[in-house]
Amino acid sequence: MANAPTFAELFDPDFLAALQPFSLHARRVARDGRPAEQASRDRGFGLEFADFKSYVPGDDLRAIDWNIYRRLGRLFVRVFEERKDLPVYLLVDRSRSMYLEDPPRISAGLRAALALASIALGQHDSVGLFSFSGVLNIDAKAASGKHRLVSFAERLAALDERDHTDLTGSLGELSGHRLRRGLLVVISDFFDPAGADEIAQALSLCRHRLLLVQLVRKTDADPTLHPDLHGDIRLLDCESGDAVDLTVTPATLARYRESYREFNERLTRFATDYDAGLVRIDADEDVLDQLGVLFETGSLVV
Amino acid sequence: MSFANLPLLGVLGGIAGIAALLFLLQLLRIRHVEVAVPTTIFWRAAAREAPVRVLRGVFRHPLAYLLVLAICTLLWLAFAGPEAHDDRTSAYRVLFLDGSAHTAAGSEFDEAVDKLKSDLAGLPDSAREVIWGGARNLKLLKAGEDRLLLDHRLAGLAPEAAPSALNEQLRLLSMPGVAPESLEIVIYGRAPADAVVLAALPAGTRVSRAIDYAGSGPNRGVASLGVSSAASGRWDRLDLLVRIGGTPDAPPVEGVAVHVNGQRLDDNRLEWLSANVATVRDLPADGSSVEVQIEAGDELALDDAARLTLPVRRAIRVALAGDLDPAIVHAIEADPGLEAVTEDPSIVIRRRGVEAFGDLPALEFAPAADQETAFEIAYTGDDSAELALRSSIAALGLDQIDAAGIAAETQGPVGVQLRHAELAGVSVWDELLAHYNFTGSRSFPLFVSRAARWLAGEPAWHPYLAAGRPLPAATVWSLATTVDPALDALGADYVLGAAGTVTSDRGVADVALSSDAVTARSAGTPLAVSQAGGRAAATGIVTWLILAAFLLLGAEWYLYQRGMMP
Repeated sequence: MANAPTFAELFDPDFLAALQPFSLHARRVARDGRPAEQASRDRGFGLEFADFKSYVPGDDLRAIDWNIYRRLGRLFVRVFEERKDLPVYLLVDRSRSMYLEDPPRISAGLRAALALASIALGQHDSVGLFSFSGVLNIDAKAASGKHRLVSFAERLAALDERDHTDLTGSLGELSGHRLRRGLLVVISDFFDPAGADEIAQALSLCRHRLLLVQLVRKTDADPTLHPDLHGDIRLLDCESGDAVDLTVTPATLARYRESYREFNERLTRFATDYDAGLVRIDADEDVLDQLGVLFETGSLVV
Repeated sequence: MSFANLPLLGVLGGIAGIAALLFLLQLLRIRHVEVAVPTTIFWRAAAREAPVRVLRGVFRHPLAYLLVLAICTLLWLAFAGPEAHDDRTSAYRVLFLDGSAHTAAGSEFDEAVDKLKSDLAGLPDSAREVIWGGARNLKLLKAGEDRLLLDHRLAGLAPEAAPSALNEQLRLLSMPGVAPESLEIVIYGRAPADAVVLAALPAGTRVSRAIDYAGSGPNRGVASLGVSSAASGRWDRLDLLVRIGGTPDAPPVEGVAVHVNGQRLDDNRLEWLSANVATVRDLPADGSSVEVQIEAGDELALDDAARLTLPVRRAIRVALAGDLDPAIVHAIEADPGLEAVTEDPSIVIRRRGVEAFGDLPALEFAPAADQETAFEIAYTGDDSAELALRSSIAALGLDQIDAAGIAAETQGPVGVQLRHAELAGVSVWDELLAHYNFTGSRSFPLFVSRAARWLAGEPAWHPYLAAGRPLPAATVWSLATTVDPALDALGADYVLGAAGTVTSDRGVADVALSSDAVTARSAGTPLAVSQAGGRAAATGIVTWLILAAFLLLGAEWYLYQRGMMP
């Protein structure tokens, strides 16, 4: 079992500095947020003019448009678009499958989580941290402020290995928390025994915009690259402990590839249908380079 | 195709056993290699469609099975030691390695040995044998013996100074019931085969030569070396005869040295009778060792020198006792091999009744009244009377006397009586000397001379001793008791071995090579060149089988790594 990165390994200044050009923009954030930089549906004080409305007692006298009053003889006040924060909820998979192999997928997952948190906190958005395996854990409530990045990284580094993957259950539990609508980033290998259809169903019930970060390896798509996957083998599921005996042949390999391809196609189709983001990060490659693809214009709009 | 280590049935049975064992192994539940993976959800469908092998389940992976079976079969065949040979060469083979002087020139012997080893590797052990043909034939490797023994048995063997014994071996193989029905005799070396001997071989026997000897370099050698009584008539002297032989392209004879007991004789003593024949006269018959050497050596050194031991010939000391006929005295004086003495004689000649030298072999003259026959011979030794009679008549020269004339004069038969005694003796009627003019016949001195030698028991001597040739007839007038028993024990068919020395209780005698066939580098009857060398590639079968097995193993490893076989 490989080790997850420590705080010192995770909190890499060079890595964080390389994230400065990236930004995260929402088309519209939900009401009742805290002042920030994201466009929102709230009207009030701000810099961006939004509309006029008839004056009613109690309105701010400074907002009355006196030019209209002179022409029309009626009182109108100017209303402005308020800038609010985008709640970003990071849902990190901490099941055993994320800690298997070397390097473990959790390393890339935590780096991706830290990167997104750094970008969001840097633009005054709030970031919350949830982790899941068989159950959902609330590791950090949504909060904003750049200064929170260090404590956030510490919480990420403190995540340890848990049991099996229950993404569908965790998503359902997360929905029960009635969180303010925001961006839900699911960082996982998505190896939920429930299957791709159940995962898609659970994701579709989320009220949040979605960004799926799928952690993969080359051996997932091509098992022949795995040094041990040949001949007569007994596959042991690291989470459930279930054993599958089989003889690796071209036929079995073809059947595996077909299953894996269908799984990925289902995730991709869901992302397309629900306008969700989907990025596949190879756990063996550099995370920053692969995130760069997601932020290819410098800004990711969700 | 045959197999060195296993019978054919064993090989086939082994292959069948391997095939069955591998088949069972294919059906057995195998021990899985456990691999931990993040998830098995994608493998489940594949496992349902391609379940693992189980005992008594459906046989799967036939190509993999065939590949493993091919590898095991190749290794099994390599273990069995296949030996390839076609029907023509399936005959039993006698590989005759010539260790005679014929193959002693230059590196011919080493080449023959190398060729023998090379060919031997391609022949089945059970259908061949190796015979060494030197001074004596010797079986180096019997049928079925491992060829690795050959090196050990060849150690210390080198060409001997002897003519080839090939023809002797061929004669043996031509005897009924000796040679197998189909036999191939391959000669490794230059040993010449005699046409008559080859013609006498059975129909299924072929003789071939392993190496094609196109020709030979020039050679000179001592072809003959012998002695004879000296032409000068001196009893204690001998004449030496030397004949130089060689190949047709050999240069003229120059520089022949003769040594007596290691001392070189003056070159003027060598008198050339012709271009190749020379003699040395009046060498002392004292048992000296004579060596004749051609000073200019050549590639074949064994025949460049020859040795001979001179016989010992001393005058016989004869005591004349009593009043003897003057003709007897004259006969003694006329013979240089006899010496009349009064002291320490070897034999005595006397009239019967004279007691002098009574303990010596005697030639006596007795009155006819005292003796039934004209000649009475007392012999010693173990020969039968009949053999002794026949020998003594020739030895004493009785077959040379004019018996009819004497009988006419005496008006009675001239008889010979033989008796066994402790001491040899010859007794003759005195009347033959006194009244019947026996002394006047030409055979009388011969009779006296031979009788004296027979009584003295002069040692036998041979005019020559040549390697590979029968012992020549002894130059002596004697009965069997006077013949060298060590040399003549087997009679005239006793064949001397290699040149060198033979030892008997009478001393050491030199044997010379003296062979015209060797010196002339005779090729004998032309023989076909054996094709045994072409079959040496059969030894590579095992190598190729193992190589093929390793190639298949490599292919299996490749397929295994690529996941194309379980």
